[in-house]
Amino acid sequence: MTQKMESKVENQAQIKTLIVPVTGMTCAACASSVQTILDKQNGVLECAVNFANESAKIQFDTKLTSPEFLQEKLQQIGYGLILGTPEKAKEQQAILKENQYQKLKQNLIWATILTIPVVIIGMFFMEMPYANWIELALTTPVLLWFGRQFFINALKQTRAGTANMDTLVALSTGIAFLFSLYNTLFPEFWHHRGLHAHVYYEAAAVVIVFIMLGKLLEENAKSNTSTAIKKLMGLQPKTVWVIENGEEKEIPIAEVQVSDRILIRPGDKIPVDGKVLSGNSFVDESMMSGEPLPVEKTKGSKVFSGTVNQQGSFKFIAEKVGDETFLAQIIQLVQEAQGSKAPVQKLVDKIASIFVPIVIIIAILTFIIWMIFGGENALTHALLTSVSVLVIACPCALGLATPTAIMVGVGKGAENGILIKDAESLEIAHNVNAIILDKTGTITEGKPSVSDLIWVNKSENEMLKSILLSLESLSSHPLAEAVTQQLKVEGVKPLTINTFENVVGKGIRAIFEGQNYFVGSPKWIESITPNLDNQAIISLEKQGKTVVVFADEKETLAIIAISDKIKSTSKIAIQELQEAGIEVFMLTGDNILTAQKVAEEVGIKNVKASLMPNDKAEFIKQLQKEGKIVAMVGDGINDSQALAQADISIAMGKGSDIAMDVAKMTLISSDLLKIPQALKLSRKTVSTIRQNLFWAFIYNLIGIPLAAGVLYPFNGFLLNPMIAGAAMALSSVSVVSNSIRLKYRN
Amino acid sequence: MNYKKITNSQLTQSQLTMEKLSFKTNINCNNCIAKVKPFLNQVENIENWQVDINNTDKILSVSGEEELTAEEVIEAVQKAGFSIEKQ
Repeated sequence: MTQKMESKVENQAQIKTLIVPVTGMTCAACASSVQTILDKQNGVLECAVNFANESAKIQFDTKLTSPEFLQEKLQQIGYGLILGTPEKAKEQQAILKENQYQKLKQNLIWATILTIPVVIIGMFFMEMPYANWIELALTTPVLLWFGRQFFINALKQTRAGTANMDTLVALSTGIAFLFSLYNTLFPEFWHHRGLHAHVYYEAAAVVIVFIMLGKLLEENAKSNTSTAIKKLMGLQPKTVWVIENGEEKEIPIAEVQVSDRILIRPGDKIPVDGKVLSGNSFVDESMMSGEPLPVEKTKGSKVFSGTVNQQGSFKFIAEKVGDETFLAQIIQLVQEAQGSKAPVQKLVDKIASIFVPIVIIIAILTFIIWMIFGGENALTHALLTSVSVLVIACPCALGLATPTAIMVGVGKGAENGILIKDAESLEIAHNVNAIILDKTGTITEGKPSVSDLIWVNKSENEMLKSILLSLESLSSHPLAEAVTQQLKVEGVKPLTINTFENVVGKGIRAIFEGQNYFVGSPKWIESITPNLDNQAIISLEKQGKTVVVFADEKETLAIIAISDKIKSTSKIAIQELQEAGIEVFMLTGDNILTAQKVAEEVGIKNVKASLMPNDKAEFIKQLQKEGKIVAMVGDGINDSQALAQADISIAMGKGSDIAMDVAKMTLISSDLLKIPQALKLSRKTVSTIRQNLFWAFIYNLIGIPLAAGVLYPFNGFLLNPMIAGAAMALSSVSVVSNSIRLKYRN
Repeated sequence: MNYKKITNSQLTQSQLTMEKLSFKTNINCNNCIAKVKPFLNQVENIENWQVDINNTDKILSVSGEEELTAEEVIEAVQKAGFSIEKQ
């Protein structure tokens, strides 16, 4: 903001909106805590914290507060705001994130190395000499060094009066560790009172390792979505050839201005949006429309940034540059869609948030009751029982319940050609009740092939076939490839043709042995040879096919229909989904006629055609507003925004890299039958998680009252540490073995 | 379309009918060229234009399609605030 403007409106509120990267957020709860802190500040009018892309949009009054002040406030509770120019901030954030990821990975590796012996000793060799001391030596670095972040975060959260997953981890492992430490140092305290000084180091270490593993997987999934953005940005060339004062000059893309004349050569990416001035070419616009066939561009045609020129070259006038271009809009919208989704609260988080306060209350109650009714050993028993309650409730099995089931589920998916990038998708996929399918490349093969090749008047012979093959292989028209491929499959041999002409927008013509041959649009051929079989052509076109005619000067030789074939399994897959009560929609950038034809054939009633990438995402938003859980299945860059918006995103393995990066699931074979399979896998995984939680709780349910000493008044039974330890181990074993069972369930 | 004449390049035809015009202007320096650029670039009939600022007459040479008229060029340059006359 300039000085001048500020002084003009000195007495009025100065509203400024800022989008800044936020550092240090590890979960959805962090995002809401950042939001709360920012909202509380005087002068902040509106604020939206986006966990997925780690940024905050803050609208504030510059008279009342400043970004620096907000930064300071957030730093106090352990987060950070990166101020400065957007590019620099992004860069800084990327470096920070990468470092963070590497650090987390290293910490995890070391923690695992130290934890394995602790578990082995703790479970099988408790009686070996110095067992407790060895465990202490190994566990201390796991908690206090590699896992220190949990304690630091928990402390910061507590200071701010909030709690998250870290609080739970710190509390349970901290108490287990301190209790074990005390028992290692002063076992006599319990021995004097006739009790065994049991230690729980392995529980503490295992929980830290598993939660770290979960965080690493989550970070990994998040960094993938930012690669998608990077790849999208890579669709724009870094430099552009412009014509300045009659001369060609290479300039950085940032310097391109509206009205600049830009030169596009064969294979170039279109840098900005504009209008063709001269020249002819075909441009691959699949990133926009999803259609694989390049579109012809002649004078006056619009071209869009990020699309790819084929063999011709042309000049165009820049009409939209910078943030205004089509590609920039897609990038921005993908980013927004990734962030605007409501974070899914994980089942375990939900349970943990209730579980922790209840356990703390039980522990406190146990302590109070023992102090009142404990008699002579009141303090000893009160201490032992309340700490035992906390230790036995340590969410070891609870922590294992989700990750083990997810790991097995993801592994099973991979075996079946379903790559699942994040746990969340697997947890919610079974709830899907609306599925959006892209047409081209998803329902169909995504590349044109010859569906009909009709030789007219018995003109079918090897020679004509060879001429057709040679003609088409000389053509630069995108449809020509389909024809050459078909003929090559038939084993046709090419000939040498010397005289050849590309008639722009119409077709091709060649002379072979003094005879003229033509391949092109029916309209053009009709103007050359009069006896064209219009009936056949019209009926083929009605089926949504593109028709090309092969003719010589006297007559039509062959009619060729080219179409994008529907995958053989699409229809069955769609039927299966519909039978499961899921609404199936087809969205496409293609025209309504072709769309309807395909939809009819596969049995989809809900069709939307001629959509821009943005429209697809909007449609999903609309369904989500109606309370539907939406899965998007697509293959193209034009689907990436919709994929980012959907609750479940599924990409085709044969599709674009960007769609695969954005989507949380990828079907390697691009076979739609894998979708019902993926949903089934999700259902089974979730039911396994639920069973795991049951096993984790049933032991707690029995263990906690025992630890609290409910049996003491009846038979003097206080916590037997051996039983407690065994129960904890058993609950973990039950959970792990139940998860492994998922692998063999069908 | 004349099918007897076979050409490999699609541009040849339009090059044959290219219109060439030149003008005397006061487009003095590179900065002036930058000013006039958006206006001349928008004239679609212009295929290419170039100002020779080393020439004392600051000659603007324009080539373009058959339909290109001197008036179009003069109007664009005048809109940019420079003086121009046909040679």
